[in-house]
Amino acid sequence: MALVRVISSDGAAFLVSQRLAKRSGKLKTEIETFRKSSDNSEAQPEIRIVTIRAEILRLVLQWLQQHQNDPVLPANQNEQDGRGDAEMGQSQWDRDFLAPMDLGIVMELILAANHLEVKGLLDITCKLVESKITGRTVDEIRTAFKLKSDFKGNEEEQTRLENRWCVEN
Amino acid sequence: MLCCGKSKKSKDLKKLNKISNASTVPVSQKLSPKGSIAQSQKVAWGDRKNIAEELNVLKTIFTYLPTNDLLKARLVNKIWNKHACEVLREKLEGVIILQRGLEYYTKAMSKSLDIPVGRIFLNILDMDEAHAQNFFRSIGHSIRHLILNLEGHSVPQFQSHLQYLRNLKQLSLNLFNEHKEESPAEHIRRKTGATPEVRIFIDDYDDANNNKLATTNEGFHLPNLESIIVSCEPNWKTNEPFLVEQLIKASPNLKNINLQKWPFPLKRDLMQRATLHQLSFLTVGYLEDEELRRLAARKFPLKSIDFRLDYDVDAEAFDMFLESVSSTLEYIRIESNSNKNLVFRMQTKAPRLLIIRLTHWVGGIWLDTIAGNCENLVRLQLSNCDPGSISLKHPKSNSNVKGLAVNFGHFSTVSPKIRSEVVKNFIYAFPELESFMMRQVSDKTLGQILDGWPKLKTLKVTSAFGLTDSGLTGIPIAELSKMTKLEYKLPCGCCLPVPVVDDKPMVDNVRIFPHVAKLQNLVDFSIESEEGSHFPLTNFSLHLGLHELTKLNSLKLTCHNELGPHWCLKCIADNLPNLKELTVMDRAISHDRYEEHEVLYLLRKLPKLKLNLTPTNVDHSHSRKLF
Repeated sequence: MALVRVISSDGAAFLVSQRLAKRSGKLKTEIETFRKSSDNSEAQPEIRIVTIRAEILRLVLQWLQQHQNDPVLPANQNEQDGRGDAEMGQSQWDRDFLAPMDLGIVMELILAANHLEVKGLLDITCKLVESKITGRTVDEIRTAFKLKSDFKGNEEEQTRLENRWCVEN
Repeated sequence: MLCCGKSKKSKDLKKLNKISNASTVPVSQKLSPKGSIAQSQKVAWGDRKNIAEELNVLKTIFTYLPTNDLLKARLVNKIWNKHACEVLREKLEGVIILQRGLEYYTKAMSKSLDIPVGRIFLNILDMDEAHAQNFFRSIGHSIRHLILNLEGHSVPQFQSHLQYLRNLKQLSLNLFNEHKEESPAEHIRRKTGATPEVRIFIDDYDDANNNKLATTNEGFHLPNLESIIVSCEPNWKTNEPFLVEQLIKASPNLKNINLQKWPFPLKRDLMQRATLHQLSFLTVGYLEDEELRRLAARKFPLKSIDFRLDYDVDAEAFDMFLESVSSTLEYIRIESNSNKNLVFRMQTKAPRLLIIRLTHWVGGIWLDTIAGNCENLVRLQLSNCDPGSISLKHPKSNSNVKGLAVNFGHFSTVSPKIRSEVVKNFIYAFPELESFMMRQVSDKTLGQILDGWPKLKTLKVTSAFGLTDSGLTGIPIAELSKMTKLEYKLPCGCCLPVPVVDDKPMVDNVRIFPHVAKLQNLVDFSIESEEGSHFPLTNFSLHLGLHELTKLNSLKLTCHNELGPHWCLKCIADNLPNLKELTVMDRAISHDRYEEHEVLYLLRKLPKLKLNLTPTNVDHSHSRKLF
């Protein structure tokens, strides 16, 4: 089985099968580039991902491993509103996978999925964050995301007024 | 601002150290199925500007949000506001803004970046208002597609705002009369029927008014404008013909000009002077001889043309024009309702031409030039044309043409011989037709159609008096009916006037003309009686002809004036298994002529059937819609 070494920003190396790695658009391109530039076809590719730390990379690879037999979602699927069919791909395993994560980890995972071009993971993580926003009040959103308002003076009220062209009342 | 999970940082680091110590970590061994999850150590929502901005993650998430939640997200903090605004702009593909919402919309949009606004529908009653001016000044540059309803007196103001719309790609302008109190003078004018005051086109650009306009709009340039559609009410009082001319002059990259509902003539040499290198779609009310010649001289790469020809257009000018555009043309719709000397002939190859519609054409038509030079033509429509002027001078045929619609309009009374000759020519010129529509079809014509185009999938005809059951069934039913001994009773109760041998109807023995079952591919059949005439067909057509069309998906039997026959729904239910739509219209339906059990039987047999049992309103436009 052809393997590839994927190295995180903090130096941890993961040895994964090339078949699995190629489910990430980014890794697939890297492997192909390595093949073209390498004389030895047997050589094991080594890919450094400088933006993703080990813990997050481990999660991405774990997700890929679980979903290795799923059909690959095209990156531009349902491009019009930016979303793929997240519900369709979300299994019980996915829900258990995401359940213990705090929003900070989810954010990192989104960044990683975006960087590594893993459309399915990007969909379910974005969907998770969306569910934390939909139907909540502004204060509840701030609490959930541990954010503070940085509006000065009447800026917030002004923004609220600006929304009136679209919101009833 | 808080950073998520800071307290766990040291724990995380320990864990990471462990991992990074191992030189190689096979994923299959190291990845626990539900591993303990570290808390985030680096990123917080909307806090670390560099990451959030660089990768637009917030923006990606926001694209998943419905509009109301997006508006809420704007209130969380400044970064969220910024990203939410960007997504909002992209999401708002079609916005309808009324005057009262203009101020808020302007403020909301002017806060965000220069992301194009999709389609904006604006209804502004008073362009003088500060909000309207502010709107154009603030976000005019980011509008790509504008649909604007304007009242007449606002046109000069709009002209002064055009300079802000420098990125506009498409503009649709609908101009209305002002709804203000009539002045006494206007009232009298209206009462006395005097023509409304319309500032008609002034042929001289050096006119004092023009100079004023030219100076106020100096420097206004719409390099991105590709499409303009302008319409106004025909009796518009404060008309500004210059508006359209200015737009055309200021937009060198126009591809589409649609002035179908612009009742004023344009400056004669406008098309010649304007820098329109890419003009592909031209729709205008009417063209005069001179304009046609100028257009021909410019050799625009026109793909689509749509206009009426004025009575003075010369045959030579028209030929020149067609020749100049034949290499690029894909669609033609032309009317010429007064000049009999014009001839529609394609003298040169038109390899891209797909559709020709001569919607009111009194001149000649040379079918052989159409068949020979329009190799890829798929649809031809000839309406209100004189069958005597349609000719096939050389034997040419075109197998690509799949659709033909013919309507002889006022010329319907020509002799059957001429009609028959024309249909013969059509069959010769377009042998592979799949869709045919014709008005006032007779038995004989129908026979020609059935023989000539056996591959038809769609057949829509209207009839006046010439079509009978014999045309559809191929059986001389009227003659047979007189022989009372010949009768076969069907289980549904209907009787057929055919010989019976051993209790079986001998249908084929009496069939002497082509019958409709020849069209074995027919999926859509519609027959309509012309207004003022009887519906010509009876259940014999169903039982002896139509019942064999097993592929039929849609059947329409429309009678406008009289009581139509009581159609045997059982015959339809039992014989047409693929029927998805049945329309039976006559004036009797409202009296519950169809018994409940008949309809239920039909719907039980064909559960997916869309059934329209409608009383017919006398609708003069209906028969025209067919074509």
